[in-house]
This record gives sequence, C-alpha cells and structure tokens, in this order.
Amino acid sequence: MKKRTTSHHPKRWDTPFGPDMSEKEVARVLTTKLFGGLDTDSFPQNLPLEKIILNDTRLIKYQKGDIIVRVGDYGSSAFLVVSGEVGVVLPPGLHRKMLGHSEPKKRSIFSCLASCFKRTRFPEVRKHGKPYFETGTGSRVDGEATRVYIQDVESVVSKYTVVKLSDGKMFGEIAALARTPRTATVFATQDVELLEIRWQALRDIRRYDEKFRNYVDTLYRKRNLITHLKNISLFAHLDDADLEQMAKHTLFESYGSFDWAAAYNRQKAKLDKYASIEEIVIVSQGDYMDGLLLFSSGFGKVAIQTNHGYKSLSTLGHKDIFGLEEIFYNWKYGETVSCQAGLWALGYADILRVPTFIIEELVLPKLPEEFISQIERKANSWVKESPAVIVDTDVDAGLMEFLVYHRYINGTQTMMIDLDRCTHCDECVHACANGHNGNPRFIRHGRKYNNKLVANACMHCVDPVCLINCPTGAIHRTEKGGAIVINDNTCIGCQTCAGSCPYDNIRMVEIRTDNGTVVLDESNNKPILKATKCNLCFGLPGGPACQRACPHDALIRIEINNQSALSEWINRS
Amino acid sequence: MSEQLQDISYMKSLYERPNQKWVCGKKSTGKPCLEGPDDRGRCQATFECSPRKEDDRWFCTRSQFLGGPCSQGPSPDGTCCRPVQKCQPIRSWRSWRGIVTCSIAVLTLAIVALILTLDGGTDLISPGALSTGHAGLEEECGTCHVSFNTGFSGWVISAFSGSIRAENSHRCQSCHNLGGHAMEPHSLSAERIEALRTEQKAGLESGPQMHNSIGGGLTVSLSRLLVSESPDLSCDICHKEHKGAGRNTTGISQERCLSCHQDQFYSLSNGHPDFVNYPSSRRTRIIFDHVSHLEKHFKEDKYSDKAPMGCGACHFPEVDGTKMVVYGYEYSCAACHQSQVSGYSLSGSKGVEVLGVPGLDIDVLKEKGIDIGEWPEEPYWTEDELSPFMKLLLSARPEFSKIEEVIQDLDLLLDLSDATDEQLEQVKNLAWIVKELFYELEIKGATALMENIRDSLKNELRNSTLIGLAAALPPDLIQSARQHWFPGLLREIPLYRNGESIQITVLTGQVDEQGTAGGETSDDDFSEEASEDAISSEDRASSGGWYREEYQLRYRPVLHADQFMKTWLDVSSQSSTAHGFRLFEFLERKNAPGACIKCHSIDKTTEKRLIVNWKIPVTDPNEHTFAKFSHTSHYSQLDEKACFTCHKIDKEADYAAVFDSRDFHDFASNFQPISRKICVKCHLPDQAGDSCVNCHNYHIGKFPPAEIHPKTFAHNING
Amino acid sequence: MKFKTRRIRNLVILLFVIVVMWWVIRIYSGALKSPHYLTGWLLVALFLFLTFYNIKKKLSVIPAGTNTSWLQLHLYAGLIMIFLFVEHLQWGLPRGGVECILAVQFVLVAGSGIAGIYFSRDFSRRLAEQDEQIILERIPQFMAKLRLDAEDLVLEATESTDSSTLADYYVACLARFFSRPQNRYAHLIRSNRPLFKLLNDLSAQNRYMNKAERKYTGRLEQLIRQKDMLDQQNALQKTLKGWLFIHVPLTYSTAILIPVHIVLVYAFGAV
Repeated sequence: MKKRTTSHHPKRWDTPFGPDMSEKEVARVLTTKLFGGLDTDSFPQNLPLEKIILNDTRLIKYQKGDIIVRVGDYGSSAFLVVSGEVGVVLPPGLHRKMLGHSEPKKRSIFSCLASCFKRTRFPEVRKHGKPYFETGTGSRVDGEATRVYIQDVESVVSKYTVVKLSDGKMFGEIAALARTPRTATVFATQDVELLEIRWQALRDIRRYDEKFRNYVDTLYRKRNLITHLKNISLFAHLDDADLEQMAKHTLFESYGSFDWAAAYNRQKAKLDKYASIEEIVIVSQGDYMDGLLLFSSGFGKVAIQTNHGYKSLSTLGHKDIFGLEEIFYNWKYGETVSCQAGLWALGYADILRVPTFIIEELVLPKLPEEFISQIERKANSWVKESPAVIVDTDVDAGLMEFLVYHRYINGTQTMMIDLDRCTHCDECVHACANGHNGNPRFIRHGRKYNNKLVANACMHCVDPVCLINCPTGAIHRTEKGGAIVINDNTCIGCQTCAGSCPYDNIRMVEIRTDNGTVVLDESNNKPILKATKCNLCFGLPGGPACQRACPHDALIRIEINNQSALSEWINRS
Repeated sequence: MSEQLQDISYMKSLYERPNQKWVCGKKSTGKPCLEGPDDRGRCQATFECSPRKEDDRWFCTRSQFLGGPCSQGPSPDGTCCRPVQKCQPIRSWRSWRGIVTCSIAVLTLAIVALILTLDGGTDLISPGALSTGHAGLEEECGTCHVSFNTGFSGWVISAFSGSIRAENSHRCQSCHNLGGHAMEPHSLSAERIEALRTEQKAGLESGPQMHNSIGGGLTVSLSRLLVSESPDLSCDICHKEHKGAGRNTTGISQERCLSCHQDQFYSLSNGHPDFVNYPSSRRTRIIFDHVSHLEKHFKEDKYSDKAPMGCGACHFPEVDGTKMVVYGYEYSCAACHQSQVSGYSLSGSKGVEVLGVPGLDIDVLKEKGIDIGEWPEEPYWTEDELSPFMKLLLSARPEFSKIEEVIQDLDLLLDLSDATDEQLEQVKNLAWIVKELFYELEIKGATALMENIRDSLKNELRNSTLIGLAAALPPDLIQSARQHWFPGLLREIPLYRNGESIQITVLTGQVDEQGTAGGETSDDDFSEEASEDAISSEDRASSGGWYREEYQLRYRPVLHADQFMKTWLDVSSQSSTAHGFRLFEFLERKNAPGACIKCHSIDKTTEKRLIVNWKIPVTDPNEHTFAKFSHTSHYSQLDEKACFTCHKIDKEADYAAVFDSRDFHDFASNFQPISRKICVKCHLPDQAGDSCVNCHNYHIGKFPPAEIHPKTFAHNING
Repeated sequence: MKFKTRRIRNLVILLFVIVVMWWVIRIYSGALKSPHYLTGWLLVALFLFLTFYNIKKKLSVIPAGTNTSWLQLHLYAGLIMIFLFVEHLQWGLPRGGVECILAVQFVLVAGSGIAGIYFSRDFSRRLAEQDEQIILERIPQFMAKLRLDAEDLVLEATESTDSSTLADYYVACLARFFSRPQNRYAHLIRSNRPLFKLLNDLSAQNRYMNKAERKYTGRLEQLIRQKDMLDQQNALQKTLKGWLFIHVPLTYSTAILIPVHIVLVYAFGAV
C-alpha cells in the first residue's frame, strides 16, 4: 500500500502538459459547454478543476485538413473542440495509405531467393530519402510538431461518411480512458482549436464529477463493456438480460499510469534489480473479495507473501480473471475466506469489478457442470492448500520474476534465446538481414537470466507504447496478424517510438543512397533518420526468418503470457 | 553481479551487421565511424559532420550517435573541425571464410591439374600397387586400361561410354585366354550350360535330392532378383587388382554362386547333393579287376614274390598332386603278364597268319584242265583256306569281289569235285591273283605290300601307319617262301599277263631242275642229326617277328605294345570295309596273339566308331574341370586304412562282365563311390572350409597359361 | 519435444538405416555387381545433400523447413556417410594417391564436423555460464575499454595515494594481461588457473598497501574478472566459428576431387 501512495502520484504537475496554458486560457476553457457544466465544488481542495485544466490540458491549433487522430492509433488523451469543426470519418474509414499506414507487400518465393543472393553493398539504402506521403495527404512542420494533412478535404467529405463535431464536442475519451485503439479517424474540416486533455485529467474529472462519470461510463458500457463480458468464457452461458444486469453493476477501475513505460524507464536506472517498479496493489492478500476482477487492459501479477517479499505466481492480461476461486468457495461452502493471493498492477491495469453478489446470483447457479467441477477442484486446492499449488506453470520462479520485472510479459513475439544451445553463429541475424534488404532488424544481445536471453528484437507488445504519439502514423499495427510495423516512407525519424519503447527494441538508422552516401536533410544538413525494428518478416512467407534460421533450436519468438508454451520451451532439456 | 559491459540502449548500441563484407577498422576501439567502409574495403570516413549554414553562421550537425553537436563547432570556412582519422577496414568473419574456401578450392584445382598433366601423375592416379603376377605392368597402365592413352579428355568420354569394363576384360584375355565364351557364365557356351543344367536336373531327379532351401538366406534370394538374365561378367567383378603386391586378386563369394544357381543350398555339409559314382564317370580303360587281384591273384603263392605291397606300388600322384596315375605295364603288370603277351602260354599258332597259299583240289583242276601254272601239292592245309589278312590284301584287286561272290557257295576249295565250270573259272582267277600278289611282293617288296594295304583299306593312311602295318616284312623271307611255293613264278606271271595259258603243274616234294625245293621240304634242309634236335619253326620265332610256317608267313608280337598288333588293331577298328572289320574281329579275340584286348578295353565312341584304349588318359594341366581335388594335400588326413579310407572296395560289383559291352557308360566300379560324409568330416566352415570354390572351379575349359603379350613378341623380331 | 526424446528417436532411425544399408550392400554385391558403385553413388548423393545444408542456410528466407530440422538431418546423414565411407573403402585403407587425398579430406571434414557439434553443445553451455553474452565482434572494443579503465584506475590510485605498488604490479603483470586476448588454451580446457594466479598475486600486493590503496585493488580485481570473462568469450566464440574454417573449405575442395575420382574410376573401368 505504501508503494501505491508514493508512486501513484509521482510529483504530479512538475511538468505541465501544455507549457503555455495561462489563467486566461483556463478561464476560456471553463466557459466551454463541457467544463462549464462541471461542479467545481465536488473536486477536492488539493485538486481544483482549474489546476487540472492548467496542468493536464493544452490548446492546440490544427489547420484545415490536418489529421488529428487515426483509427487504430493508441492515444492517452481526449480532445475537446474549442472552436472550429472536426470531421469524424465513420467506417469504412479513409484509405490506410492516407493514414500513413502501409505494410510491406507479400513477397514471392523468387523475390525472397533473389534477396538471399543479393549482396547489399551498403547498409540502410533507401529509394526515397525524405519521408513522402501517398497521394491525398501531405505533411508540414508546425513548430515542434509535424502535421499530416488531407489535401482535398471537400472530396473526402463528399466521398466518405463524415460526422462533423463542432465546438463543445469531445472525442477520444474512451480510447484514452480504456487505452483501446482509436475507433475512428478525426481530421480538421476547417481551421480548428482543440483542447487536448490528457488521461490523468480525464480520470480525475471522471472520478469527482458525477455527470461526467455517467456520461463516460454509459458511453463505455454501450461501446465496450457488453462485448467484453460476452467474450469471457465464464459468462458464455448468460443471456443478454443477465449481461445487461451485470454491466449495470460493473465498476471500472484503473491502476497505475498509462505512461508506465516512461516511468519505468526513468526508474529502472535508479533502482536495484530486486525492487519492483511501478507495481500498484489492486488486491492485497487477505482482503475481502468484494468482486470478481476482470482485466480489460494492462497487466497484473498474482503473487503471495513469502517472508519479506512477494513471490510472483503468474501474470494476468486482457480477459483474465482474478478472485473466482474465493468467491466460488465462499458461495459453495458458505464460508468467508479472504483473498488468498495478492494482485498487482504492472505499470497500469484497467479492471472491471463485477460485484460478488452478481456473480453469486447470476453466474454461479447457472454454471454448466463441467465448469463447476473444474472450478471446485481449483478452488479447493487454491483455498485449502495454496494458490502456488495450482498455478499451472513450471517456469522457474527466478525467470518468472525476471520476465515480470522487465515487463517482457508485454510481448507477444518476444525473441528468447536458449544460450545452452546458441553457438553465436549469427544465422538468425543473417536471415533477418536477408529478409530486410540486407539490414538486420534486431541485435543478438539483451538481458539474460541464467541461460535464457531476451534479445533486443521487437516483441510486438500487447500494449504497444511505441504507437503513442507517432505524428504520422508510420508505426502501426498491421490489419492482419496485429504485428507492429513501421511504414518507412512516412517515418520522419522523430524517435518518439524509439524513445518510448521500454525495451530499446526500436533503433534509429541513418539512411543512404545506393552509392553509400548518407542522405542529409537539406533543411538542416542532419542525416535523415528512420526508425527500424523487427516487422516479424511481414510479407515474407513462413513467418519470422530468425526462428527458422536457427540451426540449433536456440531461438524462439514466443508470447510470454502463454505460460504453457513458455514452460514447454524452457523445459526442453 | 558486476556491472554490464554492454549498453543495450538504442542510442548506444547500433545494429551489428555480420552480413557486411567489411568492418570499420576502428570498431575495436569502440568508436567506429558511421559511414563504414565501402564494399571494396576502402575507408569512407571524412568528417564527423557536414555543418549547416544559417545566415552566415555555421552550425554543427553531428549525428546523435557521435554525441550530437560538438563543443567547438565548425571552423569559419564551414568545414567540420573533427576530421575522422582514416582506418584500414577489416574483413568480417564470413568474408574471411569465403576467402579461405575459395583459395583452398583453387589450390585443389591446381593439384588436380598437376596430377593430370605431370608425368609422375599416373603414379598418383593409380589406385595402388599391382599383384605379384602383374608386377611390372605399373609402368604401362595402357596395357590393361584401354582408355589410358587417350588423355584426360578421352577419359571423360570413355567414362560415359558404358563399354569400358568389357573392353578392359578383353585386354585381360589377350594374356589370359579363356576361349570364345570367356565372358559368359563359367566361360562356357550357353548351350553347354543348358546341357549341364538338364543333365544336373536329370541326375537330381534320379539321384539324391538336395534340400531346395533358401540357400544363403533372404540375402541371396533378394540378390537373385537383381541378377539380370545376361549379367555383365567383366573380369573385374571377381578379380580385384591394385590391392598391393602379394594380394590375392581372385575371390568369389558363396552368395555370388547362389545368386545364379537354380538349386540352392547352404554348403557342402548342408544341402549339397551326394556324389554320384564320384570319382568314376566311366569304366576303366585298362581292364584291371582290383578285387580279383587283391583278393585272389596277389594271394597265390606263385605270385607272392611279385604281388605289390600297397597301392603306392602301382599308383603315384601327378606332378601337381591332383590326380593319381599308374606306373604303367612294364613296372606294374609285366612281371606276371609278359608270358601272355609273348604268347608262351598260347596253344596253337603263336603268330598271326598274314600271307599264305590257299590249298586247291588240284586233281579236279588237272582233270578239268584248268591252267593255273605251278601249284604246290597237298600242303598241310589249314581249315580256313584264306586268312583275314589275305582276304583283305586280295580285296584290293577288282576281280576279287566277283571271285568271292561265286566261290562262296563252295564249302571247301580242297574239294572241287562238283564245282561248276564258272566256279572253276573263278578258282583259276583266285589262284592267279594270289600268284600276282606274291609276284608283286617279290619284285616290289614292302612297297607293294603297303600299296596293297592302302588300296584294300580304301582310306588314306599316313605313311608312318603303313610302315607300322608292313612291320618290316623282310624281302628275303618273301623270296625264300616263293622259291618253295612257286619256283617258276617269275617266269609264269609275265606269260600269264601276255594271255598265254600255262598248263597246271603240280609241284611234288622232289627238287626240280632249278633246284628249288617243294612244299614240305623245309625240314629236309636239315641233316638227319640236325632234324633230330631241331625245334618247330613256331618256337624258333619265340622272340617274335616274321616267320614261315608251312605255306604261311606269320607275325608274332615282339613285346608289350607291339607296333604291328597295335597299328593293325587301330587301323582295322576304324576300317569301313567288311574285310577290314573282319580282320579286327580276328585280332581282338581273347586268345589272339599278344592278347591285347584282354586288358585294353574297346569303347564305342559317340560317332559309333571303335577305339582301343591303349593308355590311361593323362590329364591336361590346362584342363579346368568343375571339381578339383588334390590327392597329395589329403595324404595327411589318411588313417591306417590309407587309400581305403576314401576308396572303399566293392566286392559285389561284377567288374569284368561289363567289358563285353562296348558302351563305357555302363560299368561296375571296383570301388564304392566316395561318400560326401567323408569330406564333410573336415570340410566345415570353421575347419577346411566348405564354400563352393573350395572344390569347384569357376572358369571351366581348357585354358593355356598366360601367353606372352604378342606385342613384346613383335618387338623382339623388329629388334 | 524434449531434446532427449528427439535424440533417442533419431539414433534409433540412424541405426535402422545403417543396418538396412549394410544389408543392401551385401545383396548388391551378391548380385554380381560391385558394391563400390553402390556405396560410391550413395556417398555422392549424401555428399550433395550435406553440402546443400550450407546453401539452405543462405536461403534462410525461403520457407523450406527450419534450419534446426535441416541440421538434424545434416548430422545424422553425416554419420550415415561415415559408415558408407568405411564400406566404400571395404574397411581398409586407400592405396592410390587421389584416393588418399580424398580419404584424408573426408576424414578431416567428418572429424571437424564431429568436433564442431561438440563445441556447439559444450562451449555454448559454458558461454551461458557468464553474466553477459558479448557479441564476438564487440569483444575487442570492450577489451580496449577495460584496459583504459584499468590504466585510469591505477594512475588515479598512484596519484591519490602516492604509492607505486599498484602501478608497479600493473606494469609487471597486468599490462600484458589487459593489452590483448589472453589464456586462450587455458579457457578452452576450462582452466581458471591464470585468473587465480593474477588474483592471488594481486591480493599478495595488499601487504604493501594501506587502506586507501586497498580500496583500488577491489575495483581492479573486478576489472580483471571482467577481462577474464572477455578472454573466455573470445576463446570459445572464436573456436565456435573457427572449426567451420576447416569444415566448409575442405568440403568444397572435396567437391572438386569427387568428379575427378568418378571420371577416373569409370574411365579405367575400375571397381
């Protein structure tokens, strides 16, 4: 609990969101429909609405055509239209290319063959030196920021279904609060002034202002909750009425900070490797189970007290459940056992708390037989013996802690190398280079625990912090497969992604022309940089070449949270 | 844990590029330049940055990877103040490996080139030293390898021509002549093989069955599937050369035999058919009854001193030790059998009547006035008036056939009382041709005889044979005989030839005016006393040879293997004429002088011709038979029974009887067939060995030993 | 699948294949054919297959099975090839020049291969025992770094404590140690002797030091340990790469001799 207090509000506001927010602007903002309607008294003394606006919001101007948010982007702030008008492009949205998204094309076997024999004379050779944008869009530099704009707004408005939002309207709050991808592309249909509200502010406002809370929650319930609940196998047998009922009572909780990565990066340097960073207690061992916890996003770790520390048992992610055992046990045997294991948010976690009584009334009675027996067995050993007994993994504890500590649990395609077998032959690197025009896209080094090495290759995270704030949408999730890729053409080398990747898996390179000379940006004579990383050999047949290229069965791309796969791979010898 | 050496942060640690050929030489210092070398390994580095000009001021644009803008900033003329010190780029590991690989490959090519071009190269090409037998051919690979002298290009070509091994095999045969069917199974013609197969089949149907087992097991039966109908049987399949001096170049495995042979069995001890009458495939050529000799004769007292002590007394191994042979008549038989040959023990005439005067009923002839000139009176006629020899000789004359035909009805020429005129006419002719014969003999001697024999036998005979047949008939003997029998012959014949008829004159005992003696006067040459102790003329010729008895000239065999007898038996046995054959029958009688046929068996050959077996056949050292056996090498195995260990006497067998027949196939050996069990005692895998080639040859036929290479022969002639 | 189960499975298959081949060779020879041709061509086929592994590795992007499974095939095919090779020589020694060269090459290639797989399995484990995995190409730069650190440290010590004990010792023993890769063979045979010697000698120096100086020896010791770690990584990793310098080049030179051998054998109709 101590940690919670210290690290939940790390000296907030020492770096205001917008440097140039003044009393005058705040006053102006407060006149807007949204903020005007808020009940300032409901905010605590130490957290007045004005200060929130002053520090956690900023005013930005967009010119006509500027793209504000892209569908699929990750963002941690919402926008309020102060003046002017924006257009929300409803599905089917703009062409991907207009959003700066574009993945390598599927390549034929022959082109692959060719690439194997083609000796690249120089590394990082590019056709286009400067970033360029597909027809219909362009980019301009606006002070620090780079803006991508739609050239012919009218034709877009006529061609696509565009919903106009004029002043006082807000958008992007759900994506910001629930850390879900943006659901639609928004662009300025005319010069517009927006108030960007970062998630901290949103969270506080939601917490202290009932009207806002209801507004957001209803929105959220409508858009996300039901579908989310539907997707949980435990509730599969419930009918819509029940789900409605359940949704009504479900509470949203959010732990940790969205920019945990930054915080993590800041702290990991200072702390010794045994301290736990950015871990916020959600449930302490011994608390009363007042509800079943569903992970909507973020990560948690289940741990039990061991002497003076906590032993990680397993990690929880999207769609995982916590607390079912205790609830079931109490319901079944009429006992009141408290929580057997603690639950921590790793970095941040969004939790849905379904009250215990709902579970007892709606879920458990109607539970199919096979579920019952299964859960009963689990619950018994969970409660009577120890959670440690049934957590189904034989990944050794040390490695577990290592993976948790370094947040590798975030990875869906983490590159792990079994050093007992790795002969340092660099076949993986060669293969990678062959797949990427002679340029490796990872480095065969990284942190190791015992004989397992996690190499510096993009893990294609569940929570891709690198996507946040990409000005051109160059880095994005592919439509199919969900790999994180960078569109080399639209990458402007701003290093936002590289900087925010907590694993140092994105590397900036200076690009060259095919006669080897480094391309300089004529505006400032600096070498043009491009962000590069593993794209999972997207477009190449047969998946990541590195794994196929390893002659000694040493390298694997693996989802760390897939405990069974992990333990199987780890315990091969 | 000590602090980490590597900083993996994205700013500090840039991509490793092991796939690049060249690496910046300053990498080892930890401060490589950003440009890196070009693909030829030349350092590209110039300055750390290319400064930017903004309204007359230059700004440093150094890359963040070099630590961002530098403190000094560019020099006033806008050049970077931090020139990068040039380096000597180094090759990457991959690049090194490539270079080593290439250079070693080149080296290998060079070595190959040398081997193929240099003179000494052939020594390297040769896969090893030759066997002792071929030693010395190393210098001349071309002697055995057809393609050798065509050079490498030629080798490549011939490598693809499938026929090389066959061609080489022919080279082998230029020395090792295996006959026309060398390359066929067992070096035998297909027909011969087929014949043998059927024979074998027949033998197996009647004789002992062999287990038609899966021979060498599954392996063999699978091999058989692979063997083609006409397997390519070049020499090198079994004969391996270049295995080094003193190595055996021959070798054929059990499996290989079994992979062709229809009847499958494991080994001699297991499944091999029992021997049929081995070793005798026919009756003996010399009629020698081991049983009667061992059981009877050798036990008789009179022979006790002559009887042999053991087999070794008569039998001895041939030089190569394989076959046992006999010392021969002189050493083994003569002691007891000489008297029979010389005819001492013979009753009656001890010689063969060759020439003689037939007796005629001269009273009738006189009375009827048949002009036959002089004719001796009442000699001691033998029953048979003309000896087979006389008939044969007279048959040379054209008249004779007619004569024979007419007078054959007369039972006896000594009684012509009721002979028809025609018959008498023919008797007259007979008388004259007899006289003509003697006339010829007298004036021409042996030549006449030889010609006569040739004409009568009606087939070409070599001179040597004729001489043998004439057997040195002494002219004087002819003359004296004529003086006694036809004193006036020399006068009469010319007249007779002139067609004059010469009155019959009966020669009585008294000497006529010419002083020639008549018929029986022979003994009267002696004085009273002389004739007292004189012995019969038969006995006088006891050492053999020609002699006159009454009105006959006879020949008595001189010693064993008498030329006259032998030659006449051979010639007459082959003769196509009736008289010739009758003569053979006359000579082959058991009691005929010389008694040749008593021991020398007569065979009818496949061409239905008769041959007298004079000799035990000597084995030709070049003859390679299916089975091979060395007597001498088995001596050590004999127990106290000595030869009888294997050769068991068969007392029941009626050895002698079969020789009346002339088919040498039906016979009863004195010995029981050798039993396989005896061999199997020692011939087991772990003892004396029991593989096929222990006892069998592969190449069958008569092969001369390796010839001198014709080439060398030519060389020497041409100097 | 666990490595152990895979190994057992493959060995069983290997054994089976060898037995079958042994038998087939006997059958073939029984059928009045020369087994040399059979074994010879099998060897050629296997050789091509084994060599193809090298090419396959270059084609890593093509989805044609993982290199792991290819390597497994490569290894066991190699073992089969050794058997065939011995059969081809009829369990004897070659006599001809070309044959000898070929045989020697084969033995070297096969031998280096076997050595290689030993290195790959054993050295990898030993490398994994270290705190860090250093990329081979980067070892020199870290050696340089350590050397500078050490020198700075010693200088600092000398200045701050104005005593030359450490400096003397450094010049006497450590300068060489830090200057370049050391104790290669010691590391190959898992010997820690050189490290122990250095550390003992260093601690022996403590006798001539005061508290202030001794502070530095601790740090220096750490540097020595790190350098030793680098030496080990250097020795083992270079060996792991080095054996291929025999295996691969000789393979290609064998590839050149094989056709020559075949042509000779066929041209001379030898078996």
